[in-house]
Amino acid sequence: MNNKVTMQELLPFIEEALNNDKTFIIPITGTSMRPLLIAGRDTVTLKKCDSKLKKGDLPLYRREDGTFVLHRVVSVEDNNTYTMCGDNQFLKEKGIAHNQIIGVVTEITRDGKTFSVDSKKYQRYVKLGLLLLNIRYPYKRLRYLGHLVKEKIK
Amino acid sequence: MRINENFVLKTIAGEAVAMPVGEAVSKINGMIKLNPTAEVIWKALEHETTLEDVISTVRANCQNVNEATIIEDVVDFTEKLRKLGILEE
Amino acid sequence: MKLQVADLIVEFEPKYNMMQERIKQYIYEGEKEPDIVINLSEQFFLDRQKENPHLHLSEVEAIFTASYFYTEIVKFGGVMLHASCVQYENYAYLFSANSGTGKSTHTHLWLKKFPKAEILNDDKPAIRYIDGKFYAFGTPWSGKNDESINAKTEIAGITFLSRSENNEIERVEGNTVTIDFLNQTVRPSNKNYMLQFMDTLDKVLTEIPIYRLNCNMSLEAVETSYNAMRRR
Repeated sequence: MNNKVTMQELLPFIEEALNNDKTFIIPITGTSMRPLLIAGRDTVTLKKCDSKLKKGDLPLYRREDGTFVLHRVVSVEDNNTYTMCGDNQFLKEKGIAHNQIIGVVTEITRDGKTFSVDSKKYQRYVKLGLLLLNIRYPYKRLRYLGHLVKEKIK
Repeated sequence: MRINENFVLKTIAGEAVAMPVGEAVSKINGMIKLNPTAEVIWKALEHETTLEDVISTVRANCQNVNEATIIEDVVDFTEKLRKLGILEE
Repeated sequence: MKLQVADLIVEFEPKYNMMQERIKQYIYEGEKEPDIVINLSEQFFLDRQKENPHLHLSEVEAIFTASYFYTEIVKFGGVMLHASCVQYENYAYLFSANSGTGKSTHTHLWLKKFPKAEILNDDKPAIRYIDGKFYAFGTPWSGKNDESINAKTEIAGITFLSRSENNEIERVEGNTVTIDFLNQTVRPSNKNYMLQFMDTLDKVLTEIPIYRLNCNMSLEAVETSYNAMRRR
């Protein structure tokens, strides 16, 4: 028996809870939301989201290829799709439709401490991150390219 | 050399499919589809055998294939299986 | 406590309330001896919870007893398919895909179009070969509490579903979906079980009509799948 429960197995439980106006806690995997969320340590609480998402929201959504992702809404386009980006990433993901959204984060449990996404400190972090996004991109790209050059020189 | 005992070969919907069991699951988390020649080679490797014996078996079971192709196929395939950890000495 | 699931007698005493609720329509009060005994300990569930700390014990029990049951049914010519199964006019129609693709949305559109249609099992129907035919079964492990019926229904077909703009369906050879099926089932890790599993899979993919459906989430999609799959 496989001991780590996959998102595929969890999804019916998540959907049932969310459809009954309950919340569901999921663990973080991967590194795309660092340093806010660390895999293996942190969890987030999901709730159903009926209304349109706004910039700064943190939804769990399903990509066309079936993978599940927890990234931030960095803009809402005119055609009503969302553009997403992980807090630790610089490449934006466009064209996410509302029907791909499974739920939205309402609470974060970070290093043992739980806080709401409405908390002032967290909102300041989100605003700053969104402002820096356009600087983050060239900075990270520069670092990434610098890395590539170093590898080549070796 | 022979195929690790943690593999099961069976026909599924007309195709030969090999699946890992037990410890082999951590090596190959999936399935392997075998074309008719590969199936002959695999079956020949299911008991302790040598390259020469496998080549003879393929020769006997696959008419109309020239000798060079047979040898090449057997060598290629056994090498692939060895790399994947499926074929053991 | 004894249950009757997929025409098998199952000995199972759930420890937590999710499964306690879900077994209610499967309780068996007859004399037959159990074919399958589910006997996972509280320590086992606590250990699994440590590995998945965001889950309640109730959910841990539901997930791991499902895994156990669906592995054991292999001994009885059964397999599990991760699919949403709708029954209509005495036939079962299974729609399989990765989680979130829309198989449940599709079967619920069947309910809209055909008032007499019902969801047999919304997440993990059991499939068994009995007396020359394949049947789908509701089980207590169906994903959502109220979407499972304790029934046995002959299978009309199995469809692998993808989302697209337009609706089209085609009947395909069983061996073109071997990988899809393997990705949506419980694969045994024991050799003897695997031998039996592959035998059953061979029969499933040879004898049951298999389709690939590309569909959008509209009622027309139901016409597309129903017209192609229905037994005449």
